[in-house]
Amino acid sequence: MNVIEGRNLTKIYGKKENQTVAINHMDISVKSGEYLAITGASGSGKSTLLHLIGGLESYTDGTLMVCGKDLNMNDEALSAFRRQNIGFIYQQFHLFPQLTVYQNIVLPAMIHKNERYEQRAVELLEYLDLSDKKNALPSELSGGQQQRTAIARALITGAKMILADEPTGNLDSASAEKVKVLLEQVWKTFHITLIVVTHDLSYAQRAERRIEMCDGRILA
Amino acid sequence: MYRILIRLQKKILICIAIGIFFAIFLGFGMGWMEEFQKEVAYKEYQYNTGSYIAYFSGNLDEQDINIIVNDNHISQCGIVTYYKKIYEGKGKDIWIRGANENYMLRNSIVVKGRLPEKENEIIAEQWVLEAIGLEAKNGQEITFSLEDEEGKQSTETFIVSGVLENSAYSKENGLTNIFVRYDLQRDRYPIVNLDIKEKEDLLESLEDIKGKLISTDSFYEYSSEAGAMRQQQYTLTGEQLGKCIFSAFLLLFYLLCIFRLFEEQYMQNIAKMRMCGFSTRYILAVYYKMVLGLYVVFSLLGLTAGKVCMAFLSKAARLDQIHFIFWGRQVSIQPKTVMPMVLCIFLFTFVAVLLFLIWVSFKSMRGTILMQLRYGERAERKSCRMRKGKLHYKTEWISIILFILAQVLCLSVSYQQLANERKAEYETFSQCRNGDFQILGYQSENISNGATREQLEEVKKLPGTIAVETAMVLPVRVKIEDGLQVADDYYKMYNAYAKDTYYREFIGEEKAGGDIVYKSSLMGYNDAALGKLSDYIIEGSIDIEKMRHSNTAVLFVPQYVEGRYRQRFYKNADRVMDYNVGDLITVKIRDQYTEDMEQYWSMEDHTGSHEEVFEVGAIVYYPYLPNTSVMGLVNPDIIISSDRMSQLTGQQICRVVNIQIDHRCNAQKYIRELNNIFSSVGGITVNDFISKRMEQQMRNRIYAVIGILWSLLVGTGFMACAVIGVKHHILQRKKDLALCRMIGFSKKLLQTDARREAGIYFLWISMLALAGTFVLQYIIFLRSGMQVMGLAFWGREYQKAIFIFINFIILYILFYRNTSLMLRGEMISQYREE
Repeated sequence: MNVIEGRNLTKIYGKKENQTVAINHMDISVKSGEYLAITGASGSGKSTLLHLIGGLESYTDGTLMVCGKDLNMNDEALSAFRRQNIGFIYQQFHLFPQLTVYQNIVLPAMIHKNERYEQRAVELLEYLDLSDKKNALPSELSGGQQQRTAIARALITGAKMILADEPTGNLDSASAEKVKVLLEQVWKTFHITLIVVTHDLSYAQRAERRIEMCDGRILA
Repeated sequence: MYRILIRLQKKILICIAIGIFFAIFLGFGMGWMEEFQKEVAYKEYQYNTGSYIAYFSGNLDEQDINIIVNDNHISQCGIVTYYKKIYEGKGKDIWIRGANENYMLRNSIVVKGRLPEKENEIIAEQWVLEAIGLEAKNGQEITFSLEDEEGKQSTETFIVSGVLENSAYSKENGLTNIFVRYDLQRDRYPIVNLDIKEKEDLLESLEDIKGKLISTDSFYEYSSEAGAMRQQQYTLTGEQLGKCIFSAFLLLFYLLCIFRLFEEQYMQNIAKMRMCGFSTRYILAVYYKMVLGLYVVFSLLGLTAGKVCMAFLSKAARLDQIHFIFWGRQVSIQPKTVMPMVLCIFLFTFVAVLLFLIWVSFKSMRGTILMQLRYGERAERKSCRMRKGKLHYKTEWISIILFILAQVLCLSVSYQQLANERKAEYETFSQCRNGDFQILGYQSENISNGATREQLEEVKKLPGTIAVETAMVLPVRVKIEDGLQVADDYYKMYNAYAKDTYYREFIGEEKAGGDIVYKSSLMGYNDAALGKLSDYIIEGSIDIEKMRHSNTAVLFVPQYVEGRYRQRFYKNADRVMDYNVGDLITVKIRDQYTEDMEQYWSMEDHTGSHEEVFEVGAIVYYPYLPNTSVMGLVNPDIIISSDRMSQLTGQQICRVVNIQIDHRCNAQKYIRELNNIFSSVGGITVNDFISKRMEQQMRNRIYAVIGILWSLLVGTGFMACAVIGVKHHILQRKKDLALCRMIGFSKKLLQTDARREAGIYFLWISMLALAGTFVLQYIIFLRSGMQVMGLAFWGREYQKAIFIFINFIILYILFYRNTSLMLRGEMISQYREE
């Protein structure tokens, strides 16, 4: 079953003569539980595609169904959809510097008022080897630990899909390897769909499927 | 959840809370001051005009009086009647009045003994007892030769049952009251004075009472000025409203500046939260709840702190020591918290917070998550540019304006304060209280009351006496010669005002002879007093020697400004009559001043008069000594030498005596000795202006301190916003500075740039702030009447220098220090730092 179904997907930035076509009439399908890597040169549209899938940006034309839903919805519904289905992981981690590791992780779950999130947060902290850093601030963590915190935050609400944009871009090779392994473990353990945008071809080759983009289109 | 979100926005929430706290604090504090001043003005007016706001008179009988006394509208009720008059001996012409307890104690308290209970008991103020030759103690016996309304004479003996504290109102107005218990069967002309309960409508209440009275001849009168002041006590004035709006405006400005500082962080937090699955609406709802919650808590805290702070300030500044005596008890000033004012502060500051939240919502809803995540980058791109081969930083206009506003506001509020102080000094000046002590004959027709030459000699011999300035005063009429220009509007106003008074009009036609005359005073000044006039000359010169032997006069001509007719001692204004030096003035001096004064004032004169012609040697705008005739100082007065006056009129008594003393001598002892000299003279008062001036100075100082505190607080508010703005502006340069270093700019060069920039900002801000201050200062100067009063435009210029210096320090620290701090460490880490 496809969790992502995009037809004739188009994203254009700017107006009139300043227009930039980031995604150009693209068709894409991703199966549930698939581990997909997206590669391509800078400006090829890979991050834009990820943002469209995550509902961070709206598309200009075409259709895009994610987890069976058209993402052309209002902010309220889109937020609820993101919360329930999608977790994001970024190169810059995008953690809240003022909050502790634990608070960063549980924040998305708090909106549910689900009492079980505390238990799940503890489990995730243990699973991601962050138990001893529970009360630390992001600035007190290494890059790898920060990315693991971001992974835990992505998993706290039981997301069905993780979208990772250059997750190892800010890390040294040892930490990067650990994050890659960890993401693969998470993919296997939680049976989620994992989509990774990367420049690193060796990392892309570890995925089940790899697509390469150029000028807003899929080459292969 | 809220705990986490509060932590996320901790800094901005703290700043918002501080802003709300200070806005309420400031609004309440300024409103409180306003309320305090209103209260003092009203109480002072009440005290100086005799406590009551209205009275009923006419043929009131016992039944009518009972109706008034028992009426629900009434809060105070003082009944006074006329009993008999002393017709000879000490205390001649003093009335003995019947009064109830409320009236006897209207401006006083019993300092010794008790109020009269028996028919033959009297009570009076200390100075009245001394004036009739008694000591200020109870139990003494005194026999008066009395005369009733029908002229029936009798001798009665009274026992002094108690002594009342001297009342400024009675003393200054020469109200030598001796009270007995009132008896409606025995006494005549009852007057019921009253005060109306708070919040009751004055006119409606008086009409209501009048409607209930049986006597058809009864009428009421009330003080419209006191009525207006009373009305203001319970309502929100325009100034208070303005201050509430000002506080709210300042709060909104501050909030926007604060938000600007945290904008990047706020927008990124919003984006991250949206990424985590929070909708913008949800985030904003939480934000609204937090800010409004803060508003509730911190506005109440601000209000409480405002109250506590004002209580503390008023105690520290000894405002609580300002008290008045009303109805037998000391009343200290307790400004009420006017509910409309509090509600207004809450309403306007709430609107400010709401506008801020709407603006934040508008910002939060703009753009996608990604745009919000990259929010800071856009701002950073604008921080500087290259021009003519040099690095030019973006100008922070809002901050410059805020700096200027802060400075202009502080300096202008301070100048307004100075204007108020100078106006207060002018008020004292216009009351002619120029001596340390002043002996005054009462403002009545009896011009024989005053100080004799012998008494003045005694005064001169008192240890500590430096100068004795004297004036003889005779009411006269002056012919208006053809061609003399008279200020029509001025006299129209004053004649209308005087129509129902004892002296009827200021200018009119004499009934016998038909001359057009104005009522005036011929004043005989001694050399010391004449010497003082030279400070107020607007034309001519004073030759004292010549004045002693010839009919050369100094003419006091009131000068007025259109619409401000009640103030008449302006230096640079229009003369009420266009006299010039060298003009001849024909003065009609009455032959007999002790009889038929009423006819004299109503332009009839059965006793005859003779004319004297005086040549105007000099014109002054200020008479220096007060005029003790009932006419006041509305018309020009003719001032001649006291020697010449004695020669022309035979007058020997001085109605006004100013005594200047050496301030090292014991003033209390001095006034006791003065009282000893003048205790046997009826119809005069001995005024102590040293203590009055000290009281006034203390009050002015207090207002000045509080005014300066508020101006500093308001200025600091604007300055804080400006500092926040500039700091934010500089912090945006972090990456640019790192880039500049990467391409070869040295730290020293960038620091020099920062210093140069601080200097340019400083010059701009100082020049514009000074220009703005002078413009506003000039407006205040014109509007407050300082110009026409002849007061100086300049004042406290050192404050400008202080503010400019502070401004320089702040700008230097802001630019140089912040830039230096940013330049510390490795350039690459600065460039990468989030």
